[in-house]
Amino acid sequence: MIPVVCFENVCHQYDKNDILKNISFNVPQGSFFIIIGPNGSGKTTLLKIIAGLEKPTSGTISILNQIVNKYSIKELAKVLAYVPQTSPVDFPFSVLDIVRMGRSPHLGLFGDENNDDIKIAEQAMIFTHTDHLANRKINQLSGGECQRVSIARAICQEPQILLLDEPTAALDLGHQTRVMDLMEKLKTERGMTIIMISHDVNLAALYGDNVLVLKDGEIIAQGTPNDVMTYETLEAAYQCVVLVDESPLGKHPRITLVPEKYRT
Amino acid sequence: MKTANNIWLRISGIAIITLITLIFTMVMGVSMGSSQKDLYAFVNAVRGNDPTLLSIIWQIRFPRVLLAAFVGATLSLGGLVFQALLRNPLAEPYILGISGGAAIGGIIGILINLSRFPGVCATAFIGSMATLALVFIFSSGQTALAKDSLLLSGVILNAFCAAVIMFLVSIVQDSRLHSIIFWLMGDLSHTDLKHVGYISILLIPCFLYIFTMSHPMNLLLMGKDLAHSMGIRVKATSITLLIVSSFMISVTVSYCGLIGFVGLVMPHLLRMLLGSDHRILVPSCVFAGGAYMVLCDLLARTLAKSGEMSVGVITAMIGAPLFIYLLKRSRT
Repeated sequence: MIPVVCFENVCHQYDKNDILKNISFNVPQGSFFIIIGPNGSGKTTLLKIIAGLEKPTSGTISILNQIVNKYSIKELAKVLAYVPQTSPVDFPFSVLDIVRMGRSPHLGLFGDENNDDIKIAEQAMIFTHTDHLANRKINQLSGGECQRVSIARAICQEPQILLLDEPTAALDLGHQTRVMDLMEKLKTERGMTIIMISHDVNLAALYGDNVLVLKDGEIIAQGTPNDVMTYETLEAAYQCVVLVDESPLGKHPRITLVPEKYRT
Repeated sequence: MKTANNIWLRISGIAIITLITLIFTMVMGVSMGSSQKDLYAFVNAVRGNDPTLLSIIWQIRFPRVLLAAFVGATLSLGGLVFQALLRNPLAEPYILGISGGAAIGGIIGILINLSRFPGVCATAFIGSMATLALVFIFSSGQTALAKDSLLLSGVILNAFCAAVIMFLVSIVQDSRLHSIIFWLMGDLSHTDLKHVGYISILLIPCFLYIFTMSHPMNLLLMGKDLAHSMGIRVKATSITLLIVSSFMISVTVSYCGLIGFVGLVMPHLLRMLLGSDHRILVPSCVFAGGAYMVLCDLLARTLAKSGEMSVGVITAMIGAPLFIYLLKRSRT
């Protein structure tokens, strides 16, 4: 498999604290790549480094076989889209305006679109079931709707790589599965590489092709969910007691938290 | 979804409507003044029957109305840019201390007897840049453009600037005191076509530059990470926009003193009417902001029984209640 994102010995420091320590990994093309790990383990920093939002202290990163520093900001925006954890907007843009902004890297200075751009925006909205919201104001939407609009905007960028920072964190069960199914569809139908941070180990086990476990800025495990999501790894990562068995759906590990009252 | 593909059509449509409003208010502006309030005399003068009034219209009112239009346009646009950069609808150069810094520079320029142009303009610009630099130093730490800390340090600096202005005013003992105080309140009365010419040469390129940055400003409203991920060079764009708009603000401050609330009221009003797209808001802020200031100046000249009021008083007296009303409405 061809790697679309390749980290070689990447270190990152912030205020003299090591956030990432000597990280090396590859993300295969067209895979659903999920990063898990406890709070403060450096997941968001890692994602921001891929997105070009943070510069690593040392190490090299290549995206689509090209060193990341050689991309201009606009070129990078054509191959890589980013969906942050939350993106509050205080200004009353309509959903349609927001989604269309995703076309910007492909457009000129004034962002004037041709019919193809508008069609791409419409398709992105249909794909994410946000087309009925087109004329609503972004600051009047619910959390789940906002998240889908944010994803529609990113899809509109037509990237090869989609980065998402905990897109399911604020969503109810139904919306969680819908967002994850959407990502799976982007992967299989459009060949997009999905790189996602998740706090939900069960979602990671059900959807991920590759899982990377980060702890204190270091990779402690990496591989398929079946390889990575073992009792030992998860307990080491999260410092809690879990049970791991097979999901009733088969092939996927299932993780059950063990509350203190059940521990013997 | 039929609003497609005609952004230029929408821009020019709204620009033409607001430009016609501006021209209409400018005609009103030259037609009335403190010496003459009835329109019949104006029509008479235009027909050539009253050469004295005609020369008042051309040599006093016309440059003044033009100046008012430029000042209104600059203040509205300055407010719009600061609101976009700080992602806060309450930001304004006035509140951030940029205007205050420019005023300190301006007073120092006047006190050392520099000419309005380029002397006072330059000291005002130095003053505004110094405050801008201080705002950045105070609010920096992790991110240079962290929005709340920038606004907070701006508010504090503005209060400090106000104190320095009061100090400078209180040490002036001579005849310049009255003119400084009147200038500080916002004064459009001392002007001629030559100075309006200088101002237009300085301001029009700034307007055009900000217009070219109107789509990047839309993306900046999404937050710096998202703007960056959509291909915008966030730091470079923000800093150039800040410097350009501080420059235009200092030009107007050096000519007309401190005129508040325009930069809050006009962008808000236009955003409520036209939406948040800066490609449309930038031209409409220039024309409608100009029209608003021409009207305020007309009121300042004609409301008082004798003499005239300072236009800064009018903009604040209309602006503050209007702004509260707009805020109330936009919350519901």
